Amino acid sequence: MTADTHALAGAYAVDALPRDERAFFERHLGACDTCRNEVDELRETAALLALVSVEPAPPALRERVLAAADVTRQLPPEPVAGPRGGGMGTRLRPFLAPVAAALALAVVVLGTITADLNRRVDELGDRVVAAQQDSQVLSVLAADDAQTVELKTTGDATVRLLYSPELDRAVLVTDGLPAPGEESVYELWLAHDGEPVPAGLFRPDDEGRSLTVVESNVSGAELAAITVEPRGGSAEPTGPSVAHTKL
Amino acid sequence: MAAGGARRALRAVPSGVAAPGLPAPSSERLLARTARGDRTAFAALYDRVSGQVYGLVRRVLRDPAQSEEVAQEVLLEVWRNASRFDAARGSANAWILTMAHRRAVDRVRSEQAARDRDDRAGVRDAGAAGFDVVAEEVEVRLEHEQVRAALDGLTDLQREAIELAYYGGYTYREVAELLDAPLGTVKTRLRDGLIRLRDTMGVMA
Repeated sequence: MTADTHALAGAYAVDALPRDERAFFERHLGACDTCRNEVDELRETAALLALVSVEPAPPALRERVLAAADVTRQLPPEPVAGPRGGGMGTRLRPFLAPVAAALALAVVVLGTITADLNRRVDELGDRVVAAQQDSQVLSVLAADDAQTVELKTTGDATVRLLYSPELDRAVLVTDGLPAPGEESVYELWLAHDGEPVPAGLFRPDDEGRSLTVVESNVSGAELAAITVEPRGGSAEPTGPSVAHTKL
Repeated sequence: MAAGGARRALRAVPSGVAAPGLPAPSSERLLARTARGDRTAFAALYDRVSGQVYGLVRRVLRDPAQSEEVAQEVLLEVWRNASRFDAARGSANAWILTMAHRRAVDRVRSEQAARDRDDRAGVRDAGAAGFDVVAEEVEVRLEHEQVRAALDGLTDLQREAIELAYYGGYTYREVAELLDAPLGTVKTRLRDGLIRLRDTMGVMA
């Protein structure tokens, strides 16, 4: 995946990624030093391109900027990240207290630690899932045959399907899609030879955003559509269609 | 650098030009002093980079009034965020111009989003018309010899993709459409084109 993902570094360095793809790539940058270094270098190069467009700023701008600086508080330096897992040692320290005094306390602390560990495992699980999803999304973004279509919607929502027939993988991204109702979900369909195949269920967040990765039946689909279905989804579309497009 | 006397002399020079006999402070150094609240250093930094910031923003946005507004935001961000500059990751110039470019592009996109909602069907035509203007403009105004020479060393597709993305503020999807090239190809050309520019212009940096 790394080689494919790298291909986005150039587009990112000249701000040519659309907003949603930029956000994905920035998350990736947080975890990939190779890409980060490359982006730094390519930005340095891109900045040289600005040398050919130098134009004196309007004279009045100087006073305005300096006056604005006078009434603008500066940000403090970014806090330096501490060593990872440093908190654990502090939490374990109560065990070192004398046994007699600590027995009752230990029960409580043990409970806390167990709960804490469980929470950490859960968080880790979420993060692994999120990372897996990110890498799937990035693989589609970086695919040579990647295409995007905008689905026609009944309202103001933006619904885009990004897909790669070669990888047989697609990503559905929504923005501004209204909630489907308490007892309902949205279901994505991909049609093959006129037959709709279920391709995933989703519920958007409060702002109507969602991201759904589709891992099969993408190649050869001729149509994508979204319907409202009862919670749990349906085997074939039963509810009203809210968005559709030819592929 | 320097004793109190030299520093006072430096401060007395309004435009950031170094006092006689002293080398001009680097932009990195001016930025570090700006981070500590030094207004004189900030004014000197302003004099050094405002033309590049305004010129770049205007190249992308065209409209002088909007460009002035965005340039002001960017330059004030330099003041506000000065402490966040990390010299290990690049030059002060690149840091500032990266902010300027992103703000200009974000302004284009938010305006475009508003236009798209008004008229989704019209986007393609508007984009296609924009390309000729941009291409012409880019052609006419490429004055800096070294940058120009470096750009000339690229393949046509690399150069056009980079110019449309950087000076035109287009997304790579729009670039692909304008150049009638596959998305994957455009992504790859943007990257290998920039790498080639980097290698050619390495001497300048």
